[in-house]
Amino acid sequence: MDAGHSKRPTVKDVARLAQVHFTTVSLALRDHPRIPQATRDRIRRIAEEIGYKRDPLFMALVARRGGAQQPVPTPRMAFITNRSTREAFDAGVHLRGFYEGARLQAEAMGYSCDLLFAGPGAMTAEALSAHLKQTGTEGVIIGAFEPQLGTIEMDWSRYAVVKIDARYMAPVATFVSNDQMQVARLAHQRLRALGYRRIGMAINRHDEEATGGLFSAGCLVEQVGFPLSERVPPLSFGYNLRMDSAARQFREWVLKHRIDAVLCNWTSILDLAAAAGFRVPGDLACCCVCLTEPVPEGLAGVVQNHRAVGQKAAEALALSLKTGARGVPARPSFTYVEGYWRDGASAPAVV
Amino acid sequence: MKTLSTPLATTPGAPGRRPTMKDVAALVGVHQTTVSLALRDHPGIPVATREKIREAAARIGYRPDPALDAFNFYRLSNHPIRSAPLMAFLSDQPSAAAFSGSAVHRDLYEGARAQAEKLGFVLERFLVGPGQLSAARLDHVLVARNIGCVLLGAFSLETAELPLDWSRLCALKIDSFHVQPRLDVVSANYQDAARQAVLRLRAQGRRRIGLVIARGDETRLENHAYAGFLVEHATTDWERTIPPFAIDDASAGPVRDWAEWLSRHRIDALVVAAPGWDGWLEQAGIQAPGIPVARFRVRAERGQPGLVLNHREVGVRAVELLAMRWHTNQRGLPAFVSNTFTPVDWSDGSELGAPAVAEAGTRANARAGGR
Repeated sequence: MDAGHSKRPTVKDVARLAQVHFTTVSLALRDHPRIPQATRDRIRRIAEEIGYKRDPLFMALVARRGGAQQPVPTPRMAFITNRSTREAFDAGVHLRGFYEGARLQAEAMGYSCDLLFAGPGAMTAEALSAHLKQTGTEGVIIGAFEPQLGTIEMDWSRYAVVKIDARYMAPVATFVSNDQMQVARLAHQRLRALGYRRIGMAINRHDEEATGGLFSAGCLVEQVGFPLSERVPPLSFGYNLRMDSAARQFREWVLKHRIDAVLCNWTSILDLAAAAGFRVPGDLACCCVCLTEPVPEGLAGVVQNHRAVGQKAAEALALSLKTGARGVPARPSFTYVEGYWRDGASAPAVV
Repeated sequence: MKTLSTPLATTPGAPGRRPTMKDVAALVGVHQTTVSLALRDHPGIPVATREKIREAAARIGYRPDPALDAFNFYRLSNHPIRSAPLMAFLSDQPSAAAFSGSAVHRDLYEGARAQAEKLGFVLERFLVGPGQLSAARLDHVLVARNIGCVLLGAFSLETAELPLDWSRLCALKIDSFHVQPRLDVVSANYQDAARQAVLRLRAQGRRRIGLVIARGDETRLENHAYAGFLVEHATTDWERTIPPFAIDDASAGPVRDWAEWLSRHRIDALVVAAPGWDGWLEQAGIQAPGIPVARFRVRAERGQPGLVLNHREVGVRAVELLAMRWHTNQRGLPAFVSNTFTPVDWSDGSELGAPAVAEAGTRANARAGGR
């Protein structure tokens, strides 16, 4: 099959066999009166014999470009969120980063990238389908749907689909995300290098489930590399925890395991530590593994690059669009974007 | 503005006409090919010029034409042109014979080669390392032969660093996390494979599951199999955690501590991520099916149940990504590293050969749905 593809006959092959110039073949096949009828017939017969066919895509392209270059609509990608309004969407720094990265990459490749709201009270599945159809949008990025906001029942089979985050929600698709395992590992490694010896990870159960346990995977594989006496089990917060009960759990955990440095995925880690009665960094060093630029003053941790995630998503979607893949891919692959460490006053080197 | 521009090019805003690269070129006073390179962020064009061109393009509303782009992609996938660009597949295997003797490398290369051909590239293999090409020599060869696309194929621990002139290269690594510099990696999902293996054995009621790893593989993959194994156990009872059994060369047969490790940890099931492990249980005096085993396999084969890593597909995906980046002119070391993992599926050993990429979807979907 591949050999057949690579040897698809061209006008030049026909010309060689007919012993005429290839422009003659071109004219003959379009039945040009200037070419003698006998020659036209002979060329047509040879073309048929070797299986030469005009390339429909090429023809369409020539027609479009030759046709006085009429403006064509920019092909579209859509970034779908399950938040309901632009205000709600913009409140999520990570969401803004995802969309911004996707839009820039899409535009660099010649696509537009619309932001569509499919949250409660916004577009329904029917409205969304109708909109995508009407605008001729063939590629969609399902942009970090949040499980608690629910999903929409869509027939995705007509679209090329790439998903950001929410790997465990339908549909299964090519998937791009921050590398939560790597950020947890990197934080352990850097805190260790700074001189901390009892490092603990505190993570919200909700976020842990949304990422499929990747924070824990990173934490556990680093902890087993430490001496037995220096290992600390991670703390898993319950759902919808109020600050005061979270602070109580946090305090008990830190004291019980004599923890000297905490890594957490909440940017409010300093508030939590304060509510639990710890001075940072006097009593306890803290870092956040989900920082975004610009990083809050004084907070150490791992910066996640949400824009790069959006870029990779748009790139993967363009690849699907180019290769003509539609619907839920038979074998989706996952792409994770690594984060990088930022020193800060909340986790100074141990002297 | 240039005076020699065509009438069309001087009226970029003319109604009914889409601005072209020529319009941008005329406006800035550079050649059309410079515009093309600049808009793809080519390092050969000075940054200031790139910005000037990008501004001009934005001002007159020029955008690359995705229809044309898609057409090029399609055209390249249908007839290889005479001067097809070369893509280099680098390996640090000690010899061509060693390369062909390794199922992993053979499958990686085969997948990469087939996909490269489909996308209009010619893939050529280069062996680097002691007794083969040195990095400096390879750099010369790549420049001399105008090769800008490079794939590092599953390097061994022997190579810690590959000092090439990366600024001109578009490059990806297959596995090889340990090799400097940091580049984007494509790999089979070892982490997910280990998780699936543990889930299968636990579903059979097994509780004392041991992990056998190949030390080299785990280092090259940053302990991804172990990470998956640990998270699926979800225990932090460190005293009772079973340490993995790391082996250097499984085909040499069981080593001294093997039987002792099995009995000391009262192991009742095994996840084996090391290739060439056959016969180890029997030699420890355990008759099948005393201890159920979930093994990692390079490909699906009849009578060889296990988690299929499918290195051929890793090769395919790596080339697909590399070609995409080549066409969008992404050269040099990445500012942010991203890693791509291809899916791993359980095979019950009834397959005749490697699963056709397009046909394996139902299994993948069923698995994801069951989570």
